[in-house]
Amino acid sequence: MHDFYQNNPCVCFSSSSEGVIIEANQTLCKFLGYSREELIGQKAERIFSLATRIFQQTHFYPLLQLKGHAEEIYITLKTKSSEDVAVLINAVRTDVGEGYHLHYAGIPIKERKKYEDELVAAKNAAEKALTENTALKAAKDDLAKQSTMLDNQVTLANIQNQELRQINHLVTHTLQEPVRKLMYFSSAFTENGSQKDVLRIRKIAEDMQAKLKGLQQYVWLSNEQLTLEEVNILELVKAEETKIRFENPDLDLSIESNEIPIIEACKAQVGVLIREILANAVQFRQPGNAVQVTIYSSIVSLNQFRQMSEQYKYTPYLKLTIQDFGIGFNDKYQEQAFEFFRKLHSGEGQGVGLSFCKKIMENHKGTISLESQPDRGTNVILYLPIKQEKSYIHALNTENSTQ
Amino acid sequence: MKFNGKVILHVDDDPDDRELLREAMETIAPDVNLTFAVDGLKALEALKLAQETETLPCLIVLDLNMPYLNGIQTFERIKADIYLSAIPVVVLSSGENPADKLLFSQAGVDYFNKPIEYSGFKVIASHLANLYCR
Repeated sequence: MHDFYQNNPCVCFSSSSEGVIIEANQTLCKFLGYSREELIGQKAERIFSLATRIFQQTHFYPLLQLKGHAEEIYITLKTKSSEDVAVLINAVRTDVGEGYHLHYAGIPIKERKKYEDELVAAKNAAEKALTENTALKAAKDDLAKQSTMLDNQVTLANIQNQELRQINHLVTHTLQEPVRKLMYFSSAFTENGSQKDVLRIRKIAEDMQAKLKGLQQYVWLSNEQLTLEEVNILELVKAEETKIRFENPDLDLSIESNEIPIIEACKAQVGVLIREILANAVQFRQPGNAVQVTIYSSIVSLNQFRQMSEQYKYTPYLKLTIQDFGIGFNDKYQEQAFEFFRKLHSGEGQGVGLSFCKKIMENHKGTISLESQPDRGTNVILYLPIKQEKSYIHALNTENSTQ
Repeated sequence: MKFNGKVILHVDDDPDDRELLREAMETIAPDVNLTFAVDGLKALEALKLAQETETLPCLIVLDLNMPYLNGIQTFERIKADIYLSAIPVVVLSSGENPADKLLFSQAGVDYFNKPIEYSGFKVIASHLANLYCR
């Protein structure tokens, strides 16, 4: 029993009612660096740190007096070399005759203190990281905003480049051709005075006028400030259908569509878009008078970033597929179908309809593509944002107002 | 009948120019068989068919600015085909691009600008018939 007391893994000591140490075990002696003899008969305060002495007077003794025991009290003891060491202590009071003894048993908690310190340090580090993370997040948000702006600017710059190339072709070829022919036929008329040449000259002048009108409309689409409102595409389709029926009473026209979600767009321009697509379905129908158009719509998520790789921001788009069963064409050459004044089929028209459509889609940050096969018909596939992206519209309108 | 029904293939998307060359050819060399294609793709189809029926033209007259395959692309395809590469080609275009002119001049191809004078098509028709259809 004695041996157990002496070698108990807890530090144990007892003091008298006068505060003198009357017993101390080996564990305590070893822990504090004293010999047993050095401790017995000494005031217990000797092994208490200053803070513990005050605490003992104000809390510990009163508690023991009142209740006769105290548990899990955190105190610091002082070693022989005046070092403070933390101990978690339990104490009981036993009455002895007139007086009493106080018995202490404690566990040194040097390691626990270390862990606590580590916890506090970790907490501080986490708080610091959080602050830094907030700053990082703000920087990241700012970068994302800048990336969006840059992406929009590059998209618009690419569109302008394409347009410049088309204008180049317009000046070097499309508008030169009628002038050359006018010179040729006026020369022919001077030579042989044929009425046929006069008619040809007239036809070329009319053709030239139609081209200039097309150009004018394209310029309007390029320069107009985009006014956004809620657009019901199905209503626009119905209105156009009525118009086509009125203008072509012999046409056997059928347009089928499910409900089309309302989108935010420029109504006048989407009206032109629908008009041109339906006009193509009518013009490029199979021989005969039957025109069958089916419109499918759905909502899909698309990445807003067009130019920058590895940048993603998905937003909802309306996917509209407008299918006809007309004469079609080889869609390997669909890029040409969108070129200004490019005609892939001979016949009426100036070859401007699809370039209008492309321009309108670009104005709305949408896309247009074609799936087609000769004699099988054509699918016009449109992706239009459900809500317009403010920074894009702002960049577009700013650009248009400076043109 | 000094040209003996020799075939020239005129590849041009412009109906006016096709008609003007045809009119000029009918006046200058009525026995030349002037056929046409409205773009490069149609021209290659027509040439394939002519190869099967052994009625290949003695000359191909190429416009440059055409839908589907333009003049240069059509020319490259013709020259890459062992059955067609021997057929002489001339360019008849309103294009003034010096790079195009240089490209064809280096390939030994005559380059005619579409005429602005009434006599122009006849001059060209006469040149084509006499140089390539004899």
